Formats: sequence, C-alpha cells, structure tokens
Amino acid sequence: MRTEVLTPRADRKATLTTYIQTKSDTPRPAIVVYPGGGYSHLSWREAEPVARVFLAAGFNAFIMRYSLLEDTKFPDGALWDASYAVWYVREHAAELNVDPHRVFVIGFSAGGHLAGSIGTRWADPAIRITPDMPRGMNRPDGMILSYGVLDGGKYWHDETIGYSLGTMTPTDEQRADATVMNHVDAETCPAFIWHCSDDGSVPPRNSFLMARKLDEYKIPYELHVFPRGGHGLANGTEEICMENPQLIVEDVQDWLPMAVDWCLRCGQNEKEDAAV
Amino acid sequence: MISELKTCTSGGLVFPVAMFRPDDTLVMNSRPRAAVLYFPEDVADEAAIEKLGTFFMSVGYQMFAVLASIRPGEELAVAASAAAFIRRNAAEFGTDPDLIVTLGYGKAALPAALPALARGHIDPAYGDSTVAGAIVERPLFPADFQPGEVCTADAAPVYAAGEPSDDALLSLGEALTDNGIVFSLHLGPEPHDAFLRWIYRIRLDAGKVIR
Repeated sequence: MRTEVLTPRADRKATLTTYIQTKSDTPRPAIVVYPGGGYSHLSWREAEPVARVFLAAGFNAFIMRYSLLEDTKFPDGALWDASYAVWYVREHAAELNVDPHRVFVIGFSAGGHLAGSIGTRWADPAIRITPDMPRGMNRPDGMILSYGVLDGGKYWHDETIGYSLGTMTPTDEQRADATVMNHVDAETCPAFIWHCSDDGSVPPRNSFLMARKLDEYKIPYELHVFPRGGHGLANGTEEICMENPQLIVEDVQDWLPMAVDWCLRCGQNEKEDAAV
Repeated sequence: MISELKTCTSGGLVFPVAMFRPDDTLVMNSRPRAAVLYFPEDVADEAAIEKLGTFFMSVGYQMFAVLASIRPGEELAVAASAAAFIRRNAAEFGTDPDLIVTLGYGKAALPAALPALARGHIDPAYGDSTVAGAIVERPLFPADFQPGEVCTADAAPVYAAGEPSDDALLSLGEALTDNGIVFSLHLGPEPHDAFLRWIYRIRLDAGKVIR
C-alpha cells in the first residue's frame, strides 16, 4: 500500500492522506473520510479506523483533515478542503487506480455536516478547485452521513454550525444557510444516513429532516437508526472504544458493512443505468 | 413443541389465538420464555403463520398469533386484550410476562404498534397489557393515523423497518425520537437478523439474559 500526505494549500494546515492499494485488474471505488470534532478538532477514531474497513473491502481510501476553528468558515475553509479531496481523487483517478464514477464521501458529526455540504453544494463556484474545473468534478457519487450535524435550525449543534459560519452568534439567515437540507436539489448525490436513537449531542431529528428533504427531491437514500450507541462511536468496536467502553455496542457495528454494501450497490446501479 | 388453539377472553372480547411454544418439559433448567405476539395480515394463511411460529420456536421463543379479523378502530382493543390474556396466563404458558413483544407487517403493523406506543390510551378493563416492545415492518397505517398523536414518553421500545421513502416509518421514527424512546429503524435493507437481535437487546436490557 502506498501512503502519502498532501498539503493542498501552503497557507493552511489541512492535509489529504492517501491510501492506495496494489493495482488491481479493475479500478477501485474510493472513499473520502471527513472525521468529526465540531470543527474544533479531529477525532482519531473517525479517521484511520474507518478508512481501514473500506480498504479491506477493496476501496482506495483518503482522509481529509480539513481546516478547523477560525479557518473552518465556509465556503473557502473546510468546504473548499472537502471539495479538493473529491476533485483530487477524480482528477487523478487513473494514477490512483480509482473508478471516477465511484467516489464516495463519509463524514461523522461535524464531518457529516461537511460530507452533506459537499454532497449538496458541490456546484458552488466558490469551491471550484481550478478556474477551468469541469462541472461535477467535485461531486461525490454518494455520501454517508454518520450522526451528522445537518440542521442549523431547531436541532442545531452550536459549535459546528458556528465555526462553519465564522460566528458563534449567527443570524437566523446564516443558520439557514448552514443547514445542509436547505441546499438539497435534484443534483444532490444519493445518501446513506445513520444515527443512534439515544444520541444526546446531535439529535436524531437531524437525520430525519435530511431524509424528508431528499425524499422531496426523489434522491435515493437509506436511513438507519440504531437503538443505542450515543454520539461519536465511529465503528463502535473494541479496538477504538477502549477508553469509552460504553460506546462498544454490538448492534450498531452493523452500520459499517451496511454502508460498504450500499456504496457497492450504489455504484452498480449507476453502471446498470449507464448500460441502459 | 406445543401448538394449540386458545380462546382469548379479555375486556369483553373473545377471539382465537394460535399458540406455538417449545415443550419445556423436554428442556433442562427451563425458565420463562420471551413471547412474540403476532398479528397476521391474513389470518386464514395457516401455513404462513405456522412457518413463523416454527421460526420463533427454533430460536427458543414462543409465538402467539391473533386469529381475529380486526375491524378498523378495534386495533388497540384487540391488541391490548391479547397481551393481557398472555400476561394473565403466563405461569401456565411458561411465558415471561416482561418479555412480550408484538409483531405486525403491513396492515397488521397498527395493532402491533399501538400497545407499545399508546400505553396511556389502553382501557384498564383489559387488565395489565404491558408489552416490552414492538416490531413493525412495511407498515400500512390508515391515512388518519398520526404516530405523534398517540406516542407518549412511556412508550415501549420499537423496531421498525421498510423501504426508503416510507412516510409512515419516518413519522413513526420522528414520534419516537421526540418522546425520547429507544428505537431501531431501517429504511432500506435491514441488518442480518436485526429484529431477533432487537428482541435479544430487550431481554438484555431487562436483565433477563443468562450468560
């Protein structure tokens, strides 16, 4: 496996770590991981442990450690970084041995806000990576939203929404702009959404609101709510939750193989559609 | 294995219930079992009911199938009556009264859901009809049924599954989350054996699993 750490912008701390497996007969699907952390830090358990599962399933993986704190502010902060990651994978698909039609993103909590934002706002001219970037080069083929902060309204998470807007006292108009659902349109990518019913940090309503909005625009999605697991459990396995054993919940561990399977089915459907 | 037809009499209602339960006289150290209270969509489909009964018995559970044709508006009464009947006869049936879980598909999802969701609306004349949880799959709720109007904070845990874009399931999930109820919901493919593991989780939470 080839691993490399790229720095997209010299004046920012954001990095893109690439995990490229041995060349296979057919190009591999790709997963871009956005860890969570309220845009104030990056959760280690939502980064490499997640990438490893996708690598084992045959994907090439990419971890975007995006801009944080005051540098988060959309669109030129974290959202630009998210856009860069998808663009980079697709732009270099041949050399990375990646199928450019199967580039997925996954985000957790604030990273879910970022994944949802790139899945809905990819056409924003402010996050075009190069002046001549073809339209859609930064559009994910699917987004996995893990206990994501998706609502800037009633069910908002103040830190995440605040950093994304560059103010901790946003106006109602600003909060509406930070609400992922408000950017859903007919070109939004399909979604796999999951949450835990006992999440005390980011209410599950965030995921329900997103599902309803996707439904409105006939965007394919799956929604899975697991009974227990709280917030921030990532894989929910013993390996990564040793310090927080309450996060080890067998029931919820299903989400990862289900998400991998969804990506593989998602790509398959698109291929079948193309064949028709 | 015991398969018998029982007559449920509770709160003035009388209807048949098909009981499927492992024979505890043939098991060492047997203890009260979890029971699934099943509401078939088609009460005449004996083969399908039996197949489900044998499935639950194969994993050590009992199943009671309500064979009444339930008229609109009677869902809660029949479901509460059936649950109370099992609880009242739990000692005879070898049932753990704290581990009765309702199950219903399609149109039968409503009687399965109501005893869990609408505890506060049940007429005490039926007796104790408390259930530990409900499993509803691909629900076909009546157009005027709003889960948010009946669900209360003392609702039992619910497992719900169906296709993506299922508005009834979204409404059910929203009602549960608004009331702080533990639930499991899958709009899309379900995890393997998920609802069995859901019952196991209820047993675990109730301290009824002996490791």
